[in-house]
Amino acid sequence: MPPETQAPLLRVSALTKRFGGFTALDNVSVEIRPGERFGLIGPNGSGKTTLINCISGAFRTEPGTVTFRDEDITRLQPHMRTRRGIARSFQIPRPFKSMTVSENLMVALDFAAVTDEAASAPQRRDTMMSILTRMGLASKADVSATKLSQVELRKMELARAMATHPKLLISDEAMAGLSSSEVDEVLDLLMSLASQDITIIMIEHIMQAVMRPKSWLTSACRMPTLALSLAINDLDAGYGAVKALRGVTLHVEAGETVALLGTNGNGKSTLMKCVAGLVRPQRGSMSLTIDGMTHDLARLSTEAIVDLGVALVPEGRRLFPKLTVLENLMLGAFRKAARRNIDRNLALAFETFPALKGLQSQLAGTMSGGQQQMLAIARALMSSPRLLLIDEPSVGLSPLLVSQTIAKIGELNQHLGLTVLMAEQNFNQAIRIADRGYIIVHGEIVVAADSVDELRGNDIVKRLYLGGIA
Amino acid sequence: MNRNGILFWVGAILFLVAALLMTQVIGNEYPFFACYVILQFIVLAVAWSILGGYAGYVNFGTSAFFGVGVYTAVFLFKAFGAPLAVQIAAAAAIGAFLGFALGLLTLRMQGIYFSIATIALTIIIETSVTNWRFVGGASGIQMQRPPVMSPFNSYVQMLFFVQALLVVVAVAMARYIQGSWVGRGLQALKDDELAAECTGVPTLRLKLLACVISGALMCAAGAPAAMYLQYADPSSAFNLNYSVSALAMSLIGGTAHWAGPVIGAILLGTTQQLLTVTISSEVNVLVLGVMLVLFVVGAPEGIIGLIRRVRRNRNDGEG
Repeated sequence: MPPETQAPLLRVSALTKRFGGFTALDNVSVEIRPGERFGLIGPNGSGKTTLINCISGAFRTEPGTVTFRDEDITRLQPHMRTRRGIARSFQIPRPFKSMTVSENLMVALDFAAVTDEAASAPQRRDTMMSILTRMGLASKADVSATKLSQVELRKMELARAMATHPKLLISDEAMAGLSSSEVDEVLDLLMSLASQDITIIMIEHIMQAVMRPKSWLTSACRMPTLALSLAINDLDAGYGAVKALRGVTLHVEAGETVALLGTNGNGKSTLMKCVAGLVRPQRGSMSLTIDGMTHDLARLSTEAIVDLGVALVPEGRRLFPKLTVLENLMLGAFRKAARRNIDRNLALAFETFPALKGLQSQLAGTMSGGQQQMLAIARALMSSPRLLLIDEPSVGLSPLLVSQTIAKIGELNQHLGLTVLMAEQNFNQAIRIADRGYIIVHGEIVVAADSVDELRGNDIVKRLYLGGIA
Repeated sequence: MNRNGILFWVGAILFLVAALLMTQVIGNEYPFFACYVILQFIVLAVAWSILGGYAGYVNFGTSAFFGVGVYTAVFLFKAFGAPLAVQIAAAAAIGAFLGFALGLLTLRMQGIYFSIATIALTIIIETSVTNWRFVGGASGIQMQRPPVMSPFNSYVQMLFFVQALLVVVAVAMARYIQGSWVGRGLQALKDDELAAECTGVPTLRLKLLACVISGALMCAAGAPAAMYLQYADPSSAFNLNYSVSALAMSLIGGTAHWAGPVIGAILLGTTQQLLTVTISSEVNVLVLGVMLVLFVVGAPEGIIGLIRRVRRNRNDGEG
C-alpha cells in the first residue's frame, strides 16, 4: 500500500484560532493519511489541545478549513464530526459521571456508531463487551464511572471513543497523571488500536530537544539577603483519585534560584500551588523560615502565605484581562506590607520591565503573550515578595521571548536578592539562571542536583530532554 | 413489549378505570376538586423533570407554560366557544412552540443563567397577558362552563378524568424517554455536554426535543384550569407557586426515575390539600420549603434515591 498516492484522511488548512489578544494557532496546516500514526508534541501552551478542539469541533475557527475524507467539515457541530468518524479522548477525563462504564459506551453505540443497519440490543451488548475486554475493563462494566481509578478512566475514555467506530482517534495526553507502568499500559493499548485500520493522532509532551551550548552560570556575587528558607518534607498532594505529588522533599535557601524541572503533567504546578496554599497537601510538611520565625505553610491560608512574602506567578499568567496594566499592578500590592511601598515597587517594576511603562493604560487582555508574562511577574513584585514562585514562565512564548523572560528572572534574583523557585519544562533555559535543580517525574523527585553541571550530566535528564523516552 | 411494559400499561388502564368509576360512584364534588389539583401537579412535575431532571436544565418557568395553557383555553373559548379537547390540544401545540423557543435559549445559556432566563420569560408573558383586554386584562375573566357531557354528572368530574388522562400521557412519555436512546442522550449531556457531543450526541436537538415535550405537557395541564376555577386572572395563572411546586415535587420524588416526580407530586400535593382544609392555604408554602430543605440535606437524590440506596444495601447484605 503506497501511502503517498492515497488521499489524506484529514486535511487542516490555514487554520487560525485566537482568544482575545492571544493567538493559539497561527495558520496551521496539517495533512494526515489513512493508517498513519501522527504524534503532536510540544510544550504546554503551544496550542496542541486547541488544534484538537478545532478538529473535533469544540471550537469554531475563524479562517481556515478542516476536511475529513474529502468532505469540508469546518462548519459541522462536534457530534456530526463524531458520526463521520472522528473520535477523541480528553486531556482531563470527562466521563458521564451518573452512568456505569457500560452505559458510557452505550451512549456512543446509540448515537455515533455508524452501521448499515440498526444493530439489535444483544448485538450492541456484544460489541460493547468486546471493546471493554480489549481495553481490560470487562470486570468494570457495571461499575459507576465515578468509582474508576485514573488509569481506568483513561482506558474508559478510549473505549468510549472506540465505541463510536472511529476512522480517526485523537488521544489528548492520555498518559497525563499516570505512573510509569500505567503509561506503558495505555501506550500499548493505543498502539494495538493503531494496527486496526484506525488512524491515530497522539498528543504528548516531549520536550523539543534543542541543546544550546552557550549556557552561562550565574555569577557568584549577589546582594546580601535576609535569612529565609523553605523546607518541604515528604509531601503528598493530589486531586481526587489523581495523586499529583508523592513524597516530595525539597528545600530552597535564601538568595538561591532553584529550578523545578519536569515535563508537563508531572506535578510541578501542584507543588507550586501547595506552597502558595492553593492546594492542600494530603501528607507531609512545608515550612517557611523567615528571619528566625518558622511558619507551617500547610496550616496557613493563601492570603496569610502572601502576607509572609511569598508571591506566585501562576502558570498561564492569570492576569485580570479587563483591567489595565496599572490596575493589575495595583492589585498585586494588596498585601499590607506592600501598600506602604506602592510607589517604590511600581518604580522597581517599571525599571525591571521598561516596556510596561508605556503600556500602563492598556487592557491586560489585549497584550501579547510576552507582555502578559512580564506583567504577571511585575504584579508579583508589587507585593514586596521575599520568595518568588514562578510557574512555567515560558508557556506560550516564542523562543526569543522565553530567553528574555528567563534572563529577567535571573536579574531579579541577582539585583534584588529575591529567592526564586521556578517550575519549568524548558530545561536549557531554566539552567541558565538556576543554582540548583530538582527533576520531578510522575509526582516524585527523581533527581536532586546540587549544581547545574550535575543536572546536565544526569542520565535521566538526557533521557527526558535529549530524546529517548515518550 | 417486555414484561415491565405490559405491567405499566395494565396499571395505567386500571388507574383510568378507577378514576372513571370514582366519578360514577362518588356524589360529593370535593374529592374531585382536591384530586384534580394533585393530578395537575403530577403532570407539571413529570413534565418539569423531562427537562430539569433528565437534561439537567432547571426551568423556573413552569408557571409561564401553565399560564399560557390557561389563557390559550380562555381565548379559544371566548373567541370561538371551542370545546375542551380543542382547548387542550391547542395549548399543547402552543406549549410545544414556546418550548422550542426556550430550547433555543439553551444554545447560549447554561446553569443558573438558563434558570434566570426562564423567570424572565414568565414575567414577559405575564405582563403581556395582563395588558391584553380581550382575555380580561389584569382584572381577570369569568368563565361560564358549558353543559357537561355524559357519562359525567358534573363538569368538575369530567375535568378530573381529563386530567387523569393527561397524567397517563405525561407519565408514558417520561417513561419512554427514560428507557430510550433519547433518555440516555439527555443523561449524557446533563453529565458533560462537550463529552456528549464528542460521543456523537446531537445535544441541541435533544435539548429542543426535551423542551418541546416538557412545554407541551405543561401547557396542556394548564388548559383545563380556567374551566376548573370558572375564572382566570394573570397573577394566579402565572403564579410562581407552580414553578416552585413542580421543581420541589420532582426533586423530593427524585429525578432519576419517572416515578420520582409522580411520588413527589402525590406526597406534596396531598399534604398541601390536607393542610389547606385543616389549617390554611398559607401554611402550604412553609411546608413546601421545609420539606425541600429536609430532602436537599437528607436525601439529595429524592425518594427514588432513598429507595435505591435501601435496595443496594439489602443486596449487599445478602451477597
